[in-house]
Amino acid sequence: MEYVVQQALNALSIGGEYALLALGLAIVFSVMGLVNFAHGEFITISGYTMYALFIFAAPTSAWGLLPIGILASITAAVVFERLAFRPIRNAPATTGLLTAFGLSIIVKNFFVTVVATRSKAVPTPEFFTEMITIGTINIQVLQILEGAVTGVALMLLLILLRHTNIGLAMRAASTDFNTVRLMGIRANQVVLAAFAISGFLAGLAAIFIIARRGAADPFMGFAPVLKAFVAAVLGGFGSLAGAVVGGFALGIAEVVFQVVLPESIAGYRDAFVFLFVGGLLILRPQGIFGQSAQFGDKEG
Amino acid sequence: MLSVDLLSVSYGAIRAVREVSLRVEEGEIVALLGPNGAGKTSLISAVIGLVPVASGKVMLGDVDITRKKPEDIVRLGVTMTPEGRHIFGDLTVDENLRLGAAVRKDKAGVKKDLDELLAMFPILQERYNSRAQTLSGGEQQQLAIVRAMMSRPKLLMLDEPSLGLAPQLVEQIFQLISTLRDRGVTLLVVEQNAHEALLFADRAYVLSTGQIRFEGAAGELAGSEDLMAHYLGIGAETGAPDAADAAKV
Amino acid sequence: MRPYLRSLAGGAALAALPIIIGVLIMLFASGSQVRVTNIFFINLIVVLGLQVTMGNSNVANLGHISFMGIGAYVAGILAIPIAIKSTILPDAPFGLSVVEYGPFAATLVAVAVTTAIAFVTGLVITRQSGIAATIVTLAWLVIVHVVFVNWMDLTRGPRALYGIPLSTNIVWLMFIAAAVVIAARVFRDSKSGVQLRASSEDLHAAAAMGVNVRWLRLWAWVFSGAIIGLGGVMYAFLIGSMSPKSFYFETTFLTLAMLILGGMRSVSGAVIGAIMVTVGFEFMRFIEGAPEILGVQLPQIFGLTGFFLGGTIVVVLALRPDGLVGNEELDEMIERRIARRRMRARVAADG
Ligand SMILES: Nc1ncnc2c1ncn2[C@@H]1O[C@H](COP(=O)(O)OP(=O)(O)OP(=O)(O)O)[C@@H](O)[C@H]1O
Ligand SMILES: [Mg+2]
Repeated sequence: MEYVVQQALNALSIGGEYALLALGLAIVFSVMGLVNFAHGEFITISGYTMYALFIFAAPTSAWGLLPIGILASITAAVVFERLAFRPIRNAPATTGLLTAFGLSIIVKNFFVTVVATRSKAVPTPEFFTEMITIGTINIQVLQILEGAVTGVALMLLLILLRHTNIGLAMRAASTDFNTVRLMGIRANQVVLAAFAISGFLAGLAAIFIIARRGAADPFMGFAPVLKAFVAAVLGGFGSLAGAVVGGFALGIAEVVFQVVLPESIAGYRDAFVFLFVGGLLILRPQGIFGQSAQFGDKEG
Repeated sequence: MLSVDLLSVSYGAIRAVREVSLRVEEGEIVALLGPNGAGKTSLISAVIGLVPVASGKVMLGDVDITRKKPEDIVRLGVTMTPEGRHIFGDLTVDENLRLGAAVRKDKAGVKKDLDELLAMFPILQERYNSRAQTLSGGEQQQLAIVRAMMSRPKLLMLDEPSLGLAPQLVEQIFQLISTLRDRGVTLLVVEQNAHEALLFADRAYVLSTGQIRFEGAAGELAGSEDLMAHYLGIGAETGAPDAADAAKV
Repeated sequence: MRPYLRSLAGGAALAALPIIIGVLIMLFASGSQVRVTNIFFINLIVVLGLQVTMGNSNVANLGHISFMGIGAYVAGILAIPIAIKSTILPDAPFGLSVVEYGPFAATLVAVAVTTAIAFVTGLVITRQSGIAATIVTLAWLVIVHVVFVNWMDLTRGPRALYGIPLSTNIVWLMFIAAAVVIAARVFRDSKSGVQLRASSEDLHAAAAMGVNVRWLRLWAWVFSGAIIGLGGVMYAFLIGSMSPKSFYFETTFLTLAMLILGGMRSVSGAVIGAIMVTVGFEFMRFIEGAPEILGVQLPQIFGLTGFFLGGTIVVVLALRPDGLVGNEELDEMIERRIARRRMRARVAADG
């Protein structure tokens, strides 16, 4: 029983992390058709900003690093949009995707060049690693926080998308950007908002990722974002609800494989997870929430 | 209010609009007629900034709006309903209308306009919380027009508001257009339904293969079988010469 | 000229380029330059394979290096002499520890295995629309990498697999690269290639014309897998050793940058891009190694080559999204230019 609850919580917190990242990818994609392969770099930049702050400002408490980490991720998202993605905004999807890919190579190598290839320790509040005992079950604070923060973030996002003009505009832009502009809404603002939200969600995920690894390295963003991409495809690429559901589904699949795979082939977990998703996609190529009519949409 | 001067629009090698000049005075309803592919949509899209202007000038009062972005032009009091009812299908009627009023700051005024317009369109009131996708074609067209009205435009350009509607609904839409004029809106209406449009319009322009072929009082055009037949292919048995030309553009 | 012959001629003209480079290097260059050229030929083969899918279907493929790895590992494992295998791969499955193939047989089997795997993965990937397909290709790269790293008995895991007899050289590589140039060009101009390119511009129209886009994409994917697998085999026979890292992101970035710089829509683009990125990359590597230039000792800068590749991709896409060469093959471009000049001359003569 304890074991089951523990693993369920595990699935929830990992799934939450993927959902946050997948949602960021989906928002940017749905608004401007960009597949942002540089999304993982938001995490990396967040990690190194916290590291830099830790080294140079030597704060007394690690709590202070957290908002800065999130802010760094948002800033990175907005700067990427302005410098790299705006010039190719109307280009075919493949161009955007490859530009993002190139950008991600640049950022990784930037950190290799100016910092190091090896990872650098980044502290997070000790509170995160404390254990809470409920009945007979021990739970790490971090896991509870992850679930809770993901929930709150999703709720806030829902409110934003339903009840603010910019949120409505983002939803509308996913099908018809030109008509959104005819409402007098600035295209740049909609795109900027999408990137800022995507950066914010990545920043939240970054905090949890860093808390778990305790360190930053140039390639730290890749693995989680690849998972998020797979989650988004599983959910139906571009669908916001799909991103969330896909994220949690992937988290669950990962934990299940972790549990059922024998020790000797545990190293293959990610391969199994991806193959599993590949199998699902054979049955339903458009993903859980995708519409099959979209085959060919928004392609270059 | 709006004056277009020697405006041209090109898509690569295709010259969709060729040195067109046109004026819309305050309080007028102006009809812009012409066969398929004449360049009507291109012309008003260029006015609102959705497609680039190749050459020429567009003035709104004494403000040059030639190469402004659509969002900025809308903020100056011009708006347009795109051809083929581009309502936001995933959003509810309510959300569509809220987006329509997105640029306005006067909350009270928005509320008042909303109530008034919904009173005029009871069906939208009824379906207020439905996804716009689920509305019928005619209802969607009404929604598109009401949504445009929510920004309280001084000049409203409608691109084929009667497209795909049953005759009875066409009637209703044109009725609505004259009501809008009574509310102080100036209108530029692109239409294929020449007869109906001319009943309500003050003046008309006929566009064909990207050029103005006629301009004058609506009555003059409507009253002349010759003109109608020649430019719009209406009433003549041989069909429309210009429409055939247009196909080759 | 018949279209088939025309594209064969165009391909042959382009294939002269690697031959010329190979011959010049053999005649005049130093040992290290020969090594760089050998690697260049292998990268060229891989880039051409990538062009076959990505260039014709316009769906970005980020998993192509997996096939290079599969080709290299299969050929390597088959070709390692039994004596060496008994120490480094004593527990190899399928009785492989007592198998020793010559280079030709190993090449054949490796390419066949790669092709078969490409076919199976292609069934999944070609069911996806463009963007989802790209993500699935990336996931595929990771799957293959995970298998290389974890299947200790077969691959030695993260440690190097070595002892592969060196069975290729610049002459072989040069001719294989030239042949692949021609093959890629003929594919591009073949009925399938033309239909695939048309469908990449307008999927719905192509489907309406009765073109089975999925089948075409599958065919291109499998053909591409075979070419890249061959590139991997050549890698194994050239270097004699490998580890999973050889077939992961660095090579992916490198070959992508080559294709994008030259322009993925044409085979000429792939060739030109491969040449230019190789030159640039070697230069960056030289700088990275902290050389002394004109008496000034440069500092060691890690990551410079990565910077260069990423920068190449971003800058080219922003300024010249179709790459240096663009949509047309070089020979087509030259021909059109000549035709236009002739036309102009005729008009001038008439007037
Ligand atoms: N985005 C575009 N790219 C290329 N050509 C275009 C584009 N939009 C319109 N055209 C061409 O420009 C010409 C004018 O088109 P436009 O849509 O302005 O005509 P229209 O008068 O609105 O026709 P309709 O009554 O059918 O709506 C046509 O020949 C059309 O094919
Ligand atoms: Mg039109």
